[in-house]
Formats: sequence, structure tokens, C-alpha cells
Amino acid sequence: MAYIEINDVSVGFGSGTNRVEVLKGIDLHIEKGEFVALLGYSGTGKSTLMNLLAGLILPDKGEVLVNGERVTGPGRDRGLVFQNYSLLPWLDVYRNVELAVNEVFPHESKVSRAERVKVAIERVNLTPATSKKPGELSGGMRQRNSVARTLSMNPEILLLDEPLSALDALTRSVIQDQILSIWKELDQTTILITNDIDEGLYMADRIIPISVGPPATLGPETIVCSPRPRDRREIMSSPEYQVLRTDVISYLLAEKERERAASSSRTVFLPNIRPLDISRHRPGWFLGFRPQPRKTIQSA
Amino acid sequence: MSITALHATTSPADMGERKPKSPGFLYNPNRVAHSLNQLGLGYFSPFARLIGNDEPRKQIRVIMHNTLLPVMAFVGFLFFWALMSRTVQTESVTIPGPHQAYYALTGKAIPGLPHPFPGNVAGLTAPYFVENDGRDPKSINGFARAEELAEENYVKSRDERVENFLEKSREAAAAGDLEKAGKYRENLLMFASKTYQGNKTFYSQILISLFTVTIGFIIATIVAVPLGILCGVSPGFNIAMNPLIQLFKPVSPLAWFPIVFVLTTWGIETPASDSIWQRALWTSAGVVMLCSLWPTLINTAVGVASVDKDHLNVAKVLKLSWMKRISKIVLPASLPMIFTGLRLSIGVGWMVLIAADMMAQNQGLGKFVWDMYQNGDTMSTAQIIVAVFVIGIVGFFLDRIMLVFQRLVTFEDQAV
Repeated sequence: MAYIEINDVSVGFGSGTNRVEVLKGIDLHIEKGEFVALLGYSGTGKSTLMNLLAGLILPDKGEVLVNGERVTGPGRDRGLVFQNYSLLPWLDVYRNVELAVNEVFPHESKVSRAERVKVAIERVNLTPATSKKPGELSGGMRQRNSVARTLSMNPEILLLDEPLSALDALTRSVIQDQILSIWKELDQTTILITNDIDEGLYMADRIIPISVGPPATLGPETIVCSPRPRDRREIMSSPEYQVLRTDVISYLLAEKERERAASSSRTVFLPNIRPLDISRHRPGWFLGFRPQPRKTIQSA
Repeated sequence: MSITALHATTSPADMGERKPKSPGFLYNPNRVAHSLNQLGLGYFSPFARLIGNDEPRKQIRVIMHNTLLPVMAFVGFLFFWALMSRTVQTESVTIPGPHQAYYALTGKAIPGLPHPFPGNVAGLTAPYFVENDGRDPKSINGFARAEELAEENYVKSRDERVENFLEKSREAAAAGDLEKAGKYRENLLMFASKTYQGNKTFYSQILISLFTVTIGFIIATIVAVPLGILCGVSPGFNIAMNPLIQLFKPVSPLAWFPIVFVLTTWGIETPASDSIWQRALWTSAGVVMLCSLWPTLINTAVGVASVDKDHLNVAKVLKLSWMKRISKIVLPASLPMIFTGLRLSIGVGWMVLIAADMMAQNQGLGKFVWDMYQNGDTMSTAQIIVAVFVIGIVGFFLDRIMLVFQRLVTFEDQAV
């Protein structure tokens, strides 16, 4: 039995005629200590899948198992790093982390809790900005703060929901390396959601593309077996990397094509109307004013 | 972080094109101007920049612009007012003009203009002896000093009586007539506990008004914020409360007054006559509370209901308890909205207070206006006009104080 199991899970939102199936028949098994990347276009239900794992939403059908136990709500064994940081803007870096530490380790002494906060902040290299508030931080620093908050909870599973998508490419690669070194050090099972193929290939052991929904399903997985630690330049120039990249891209492109074909097969009938000539149309009274028609060359 | 470093980070764009003469080690005009803006005194920030020699020409232009236009408008208003005062005249009262109002305040005529109220010699804030022509102070229609004197005289004559009774009871006791001595003692105790019940001075009336509005505002806050939080947290509670809120929100303070009056008469024991907690004060504060509680209630409910979903997700992931979710996430996130509501509330409260004071006969500005209205002559009307200005100025400062609080709790980047 795998460490994390998602068995035939379906989720939809809305009800009646407004109901949209977001995920359908998802099966996913993840081993302990694995780094898995889920790759897909935006709006395909990646975040929904993540919320399922975090326990923020529950599946309509099927089940999510972690360590053999059914997920029925959020748990402290699963740390979620939000896409939009979700820092509390009235707290500084230290207190944002402290909030989580106080919640997860309420029985520890003050000193050891303070130590945990410090270690988490140090791990993401934010120590110089300890007393700054989110409003004073750059995007990358905010995300590192958010990662530090999650790490401080000492979760067994790290759920990263597009953590780097709002950052510029340079900052992104720096934080990618930070996340990798933390992963290597703490040996957490990590699930990364991303829309960047290179990010997935560089960081993950396995890449699983998500089809274009709704409802979305999981595509064929790609196993990345480049040895770690990986060197960015080296692997990018290697032929295997190019092959993997092409594979994933062609799957995603084919998905897009399929979706486009599916949506264009529907014929939309336009109503038989003629556009109105505003220069000839005389609107009625509006708030006590009667707008005068615009003078055009024809009417003059 | 040192001041110089902060300066460098606040204006990186300036560094390239215009090097500041000195980094402003002790006086940084940018920061002072920013603080002034935060305090709601943005008018003075160009002055602060001017002192710091930061683009002086531009600052002078801004100051002229910000000063000249309001001054012109105010002068125009004074002319209009003076014109009105010459036009609107009834048999007993003339609308007092700026000159009369100035006299009612200071007890002095504007130099070069004739005395507006021949026979009267004192204004609201003037010590009575400024132009005292030797008459008995009680006959002088001046407030600040005359009321004080009246109180002093009262206390003096009361103490004389008490002394008198004490002596008499001692004499009676020495003579062996214990019954008479007891009666004198009773009288003595009765007089000793009495205090001056006449009108207060204008200054103390302002203070009492401020005190009353504070009491009403505090009670309103204590009631409205928890109710608002409940409304924001629980949609069911919100739906249940909504009709009541919509129903009572527009009710005038004058309609609330009789109900509050009955409540205070029923619920509050008659206080000692020298206590500050008079029933009238409670009635007035109660009316203020009933009228000023709604903006805070509604804003709190909206603020709590619209807390960012991401912040609530944080609470979920951390598995915060209900109490902690409210105290650590919901309340801090909705503080800006709550304080916006409080600011609206104190504005409403101050406005309502004058009417409440009038009805409840609480010794505040409202009672002052009412008493002067009952006097019904031009001098009294001039004093009412002074009171109108005072009410406006105090209201302005109350608003500014709340604005400072509001800015203090508003975090800089709401969209994090």
C-alpha cells in the first residue's frame, strides 16, 4: 500500500444544472519520501486536487488515504503552501511563523517554540527580515515566509500549490533550489503543483500531467530519473531531458487540441439582428437630460 | 535600521536626478510629512517639507493653493452671514452677525466697531472683571466667571450656615436641651450635604458633553462589536438580526429619549447631588448609544463576513479553535472596517448628543443651547452661534482622533 492513495476520486461544484464536475476518476499513489509534480493548464482542477489532499474539501466519490487513514479534514501532518502566500498582513515574518508553531506545539516550552520559529525562518534565509511585515517584503520573500510557516509545523507531507507561479524567473530558480535542499534535508513527501514543465522536470521524481477538463483526469506519468543533486545547466542540455520534455509537452498540446476540437464542434447560432447606428438613433430622456444625437457627416 | 538608511529606501527615485543636500539626519521632511498625513493633518505637510527645504517653490505654491481658496470661501461666508444678520430681524431677536458672535465669545468688541450689546459687559470666555463697572457680578450676563462666582458664593453661604448650626447645637447641648440639639444637628447634616445646583460654566459644559458622548460611545462599542462579529460569523444570526437593525437604525434620538428616560428612572438609583453620574447623564448617554451603535454594528458585520478566504484557509489548515479563529484571524483582519464604523459612530454620537442633552437637561452643550434659546434675546442667540462653532470644532477633532486610530490599525498592503 502506498503512503498517499487517491482512489477513484471525483469532485464537482454547484448543484442541479449549474453542476460542474472538476475532477473525475482520479487515481494516484505516492510513496513516502517521493517528490511528485502535477502539471497542467490553469483552471484544470490542480488546486482542487491539492485542497483534497489538504482536507480543505472532501471528495464526492472515492477516498483519499494518507498512511492508510482516510482524510476527513485538514491535518497537521500535511502542510500546505498556498499559491498566494496567505500571510496575515498584520503580523511580521516571525509572528506569522509563530502562529503556526504555537498551534502545532502548544505543550512545548516557550524557548523551544521560539527555537522552532527561528530555525524555520533560517531555513528559508529570511532571518534578516524577521521583523518585517508582508507588505514590506518582495514576492519571493513572502513565499519564503509562507514556506517557513509550513515547515515550522514539521509536516510529513509538503503540499506546494503553485508556490512559485507569481515570481519572476530568477527568484523562482533560487527558491526552487531552496525547496529542494529542504526536501533533501527533511525527507518529506512532497507534492508540487506547477504549470512550468522545466520546474517539474528539474525538481520532481515523477511528473503527472492533468488533462484539460472539466472533468479533468490524470494523464500518463513521466518518471525523471536524473540523479540528484541535479545541476540545472547539465540536465537541461542532456538528451534525455529533451525527450522527457517533448513527451510531456506533446501530451499537453494534444490535450489542448482535443479540448479545442470538442468545444468548436458545437455550433453557436447568432441572432438575426443588425447593429444599431448610434448616429441615427435618438435615445430618450436620461436622468432629466435628453442627449442630443451626435452630428455626423451624413446628417450634416 | 538607522534614519539615513530608511531615508534612502523611501526615495530611491530621487537619488538619481536630485541629490538631497543632506540626508536629513535629524529632520527628515519626507517622514514628518508622512506622519502628518497619517494624523489627518495633511494640510501641514507642505509646511514640514518647506522647513526641510524640500522643493520650496513647489511647497509655497501648494500652501498658497491650500490656504487661499478656503480663506476666500470663509470670508465669503462671513459676508453672507453679516448680510443675513442685517436682513433677518424679528421684534425681539435679530440674527446676530459675526461681530456679535465674536463679542459673545470674548466679551470684547472688534476694534473700530461699535459695542454690539450696550449694557452687557462680558462674553462666554471673558473674565467678568475685564470691563466690570463695579456692579454686582450676578447681574452681569457673563458666563465663565459669573457662574464660578455664583458657585463660590453658594459654597460660602452654605458653610456659614453649617457653622451656625454647629454652634447652636453645641449651645443647646451645653444648656441640656438634647432634643433641640438633635434638631440643629439634623439641619446641619442636611445643609452640609448640599451642593451647588445652578448652571455650570461654558467650559465645564463642553467637558460634560465630551464625557457624556464618551460614555455613550463606549457602551455602544461594547454592544455593537460583539453583535457585529456574531452577525458576520453566522449567516443565520445575521438574517435574524437584520430586520431589527433595519428597523431601529433610522429612528431619531428624540423618539428614543422618552424610552431611555423611563429606563434610567427605573434602573438607576437617585445619585448623590454632587455625583457626576447624574440620571440626566445616563439618559443622554443612552440615547447617544442607541443612535451611534448602528454604523459600528453594520461595519463590523460586513468586515467580519468579508475576511479574505485565504486567511480563513490558514485557520483551517492550522486547525484553530473557534475562539482562536476569531481572535487571531477574523478580528485583526476586520479591524480596519470596525474602526471605520467607530469613526462613523462617534460622528453620529456627537451630533445626537446635543439633542439628547436638550431633552434630558444634561449639563452639556445641548442644555446650554436650550437655555440660551429660552432666554430668547439677541445676545443669547449670539452665544448659541458660538456654541454651534464649538460643537463643530469639537466634532472635527473627535473625527480626527478616530481617523488616527483607523489609520493605525489599517495594514499597509491589504492585498497580501
